[in-house]
Amino acid sequence: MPDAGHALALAAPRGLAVSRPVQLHIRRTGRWADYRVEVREGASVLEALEEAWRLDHSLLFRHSCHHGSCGTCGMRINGREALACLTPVAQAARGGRPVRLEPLRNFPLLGDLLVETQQVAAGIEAVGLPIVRDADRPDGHPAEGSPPEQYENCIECGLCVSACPVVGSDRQFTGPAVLAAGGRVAEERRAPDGLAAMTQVSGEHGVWRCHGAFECSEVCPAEVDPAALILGLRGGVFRRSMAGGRK
Amino acid sequence: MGARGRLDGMNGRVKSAPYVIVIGAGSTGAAIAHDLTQRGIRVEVIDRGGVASGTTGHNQGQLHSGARYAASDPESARECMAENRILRKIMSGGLEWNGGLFVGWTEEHMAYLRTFLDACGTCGIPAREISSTETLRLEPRLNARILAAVEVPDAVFDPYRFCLSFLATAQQAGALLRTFTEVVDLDPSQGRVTVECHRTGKRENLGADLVVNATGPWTGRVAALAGARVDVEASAGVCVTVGERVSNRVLNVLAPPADGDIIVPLRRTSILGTTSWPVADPDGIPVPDDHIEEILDMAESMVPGVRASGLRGVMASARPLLVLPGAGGRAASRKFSCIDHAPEGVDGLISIVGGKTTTARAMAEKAADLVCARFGWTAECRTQDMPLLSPRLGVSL
Repeated sequence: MPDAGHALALAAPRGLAVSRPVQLHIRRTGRWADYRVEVREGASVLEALEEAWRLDHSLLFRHSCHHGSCGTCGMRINGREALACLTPVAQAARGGRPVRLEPLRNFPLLGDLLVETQQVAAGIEAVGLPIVRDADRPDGHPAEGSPPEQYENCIECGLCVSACPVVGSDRQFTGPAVLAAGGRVAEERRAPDGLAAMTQVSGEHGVWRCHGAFECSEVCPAEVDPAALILGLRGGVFRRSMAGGRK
Repeated sequence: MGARGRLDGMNGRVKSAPYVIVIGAGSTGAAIAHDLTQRGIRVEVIDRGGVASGTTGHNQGQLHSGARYAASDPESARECMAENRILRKIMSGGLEWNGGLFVGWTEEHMAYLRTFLDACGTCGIPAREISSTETLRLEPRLNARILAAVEVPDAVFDPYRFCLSFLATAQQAGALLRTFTEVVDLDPSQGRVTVECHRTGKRENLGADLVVNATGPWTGRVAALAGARVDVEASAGVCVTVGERVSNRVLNVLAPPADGDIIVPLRRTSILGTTSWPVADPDGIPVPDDHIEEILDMAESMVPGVRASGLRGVMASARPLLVLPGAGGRAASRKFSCIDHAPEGVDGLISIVGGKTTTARAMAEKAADLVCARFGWTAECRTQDMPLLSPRLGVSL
C-alpha cells in the first residue's frame, strides 16, 4: 500500500447503536492519504467520505443527492467506476480491506477526487437530448390521457467516459455518454431532429470509433446501456447512408 | 457605498455597479445570483463545497403546489402556488409536471377532506376531488382501499439541476462561481470576506460592497463570523430512496403534515419521506435506523409493496426554519425573512432565513430588492418572466 503523506485520524462516532469502522485510502493530489472513520451499518461510500471531510475540509469531492440522480459523486472505487452514493461501504470494504478511491479518468483533474465533467453535459445538450420528456409509464400502467413526463435516465455522471478504453487513447472521440444521448434522440420517433443528431455523431470520431468494449454499459449506474445505443445508432447511420447514397 | 470589488473579468458589467458576494450555492444562493445579475449588479457566489451539496441537494424534490400548507400556513401555501406557476413558465423542460395526489384511506383522512378542499380553495390552489376508481387507474400501485383522492398541481424537480439552471443563467450574465471555497472570516463593514480555497489551500481576502448570507441552516454560523445574530432552527429530516418508480405523481397523505407522508417519483426511483427533529449541528446528521423503518412503514401503507423495491439511498439534512415565537418543527412556518444586520451594528451583511426550494425565486426577489435598496440601485426584478438556461450549460466548478 502506498503510504506517503498519511493523514490518519479517527472520527468521533455518531452515537448510533451499530457503527462500522472503515479505512479510506484516497488518491489525493500528488499523494495518497488514509482516513479512518466510523459509519452506520448500511452506509454508502459517500457517507464514509463525508465523515472524512468532517475531519479534513480540504478533501475535494462532489456530492448532492445521495441516491444516484444528480450524477456528481462518480469516482473509481477499488479500481472500478461507480457512484459513491450507490456503493455500500460494506461491499467496498469486504473483509475489512481499505476502500481505495481515485478520481475518474479522461477528465481534467481539478484536485483529489474532483474532475470537470461539464463536457459531458455540454455535449449532450448539443446533441439535443431533452432533460425531461413524455415517457413510458412504469410497468403495468395503462397508457391513457396525457403521457406522464419523466427525466431521461442518463444522469450525465461521466462514469462511462472514464471507463471507455477508446476515450483514453483518442481524445477526439465523442465518447459513450454523448453517443448514447444521440442514440436516444435518434430512437425517439417523435423527435423531429433525430437525423440531425445522427449527423452529429456519425463522423470519424463518432459511432465508428467505438471498439465495442462494452465497459460503458458495465459501469452505467442508470441502465442507459450506452453500448447498445451506440450499436443501434451505427445501424441507423448505415441504413441512412445506404438509402441516401451517402458515405 | 463605493465599489470595492475587483473589476476584472466581469464580462462587460458596468464597472461602477455594486459588487455582491453571495455565500451559499444552494437553491437560494443560486436564485439570488440570477436575480442580482439580471438587475445589473456584479455577483460572485462562494460555497465551501460543490453546487447543491447541502440542504438543497438532499431535497425530496417535491415542487409544492402549496396544498400541503393550505390549512396550516395559507401565506406559504399561496406563495408556493404562485411560484409553481412562475416556474412552469421559466423552467420548462427541467421539471416533471405530472401533478400530485392527496390520498386518504382512513376515517381520519376522510374527516380532513372538507377542510383540505376548502383551504386549497381559499389559497387559490386548483384541487380536484377524483373517484377512487379513477385514482387507481392513474396510479395502480396505490393502496386499493383508498376512500378519497384530490389532484393538485404538485411537480417534481431535480434539486441539483434546479440550482444549475439559475446558476447557468447568472453565469451567462457575468456572475462568478467559486466552489470549494470556505468563508473563514467576515468583516462586512470593511467589505472583507476572508476565504480559504480548498483547491489551493490558500487564504485570500475578497472585497465586496455587500455580502448576502444564503447558507440555509448554516446561516447563524456564517452570520456569527461577522458578529451578527440569526435565529434559525436546523430541523433535520431523513429521506429514503427506493429503486423503483412506484407512481407518476407526487403522493401525499390526506392529513395535516406529518412524518413519512410523501412519496416523490424522480427518474426511476421513489423518494420517501420525511421526518423532522431539531439538531444542534447541521453537519453530519446521523441517520437513525428507526426513522428509515418509520418512513418505509408509512410509505408501505400508501403504496403496498414499496418496501420490496429495495433501498437505494438514505439521506439526512437540515431544513432552515425561521424561528417564530411559539412554533417549532412541523408547526414552524416555512416562511422566510431577509435580515439586514445594519441595525445591530453589522453593516454590509444581509441574511436570508427560512423558506424552501419551491419559493427560492421569490426569496431571491425579496433579497435582491433589499440589496438594491441598500445601494439606491433602481432596477426591477425580471426573473418572473425570464426563461432560465439549461442546467447543462452551468459550470459547477
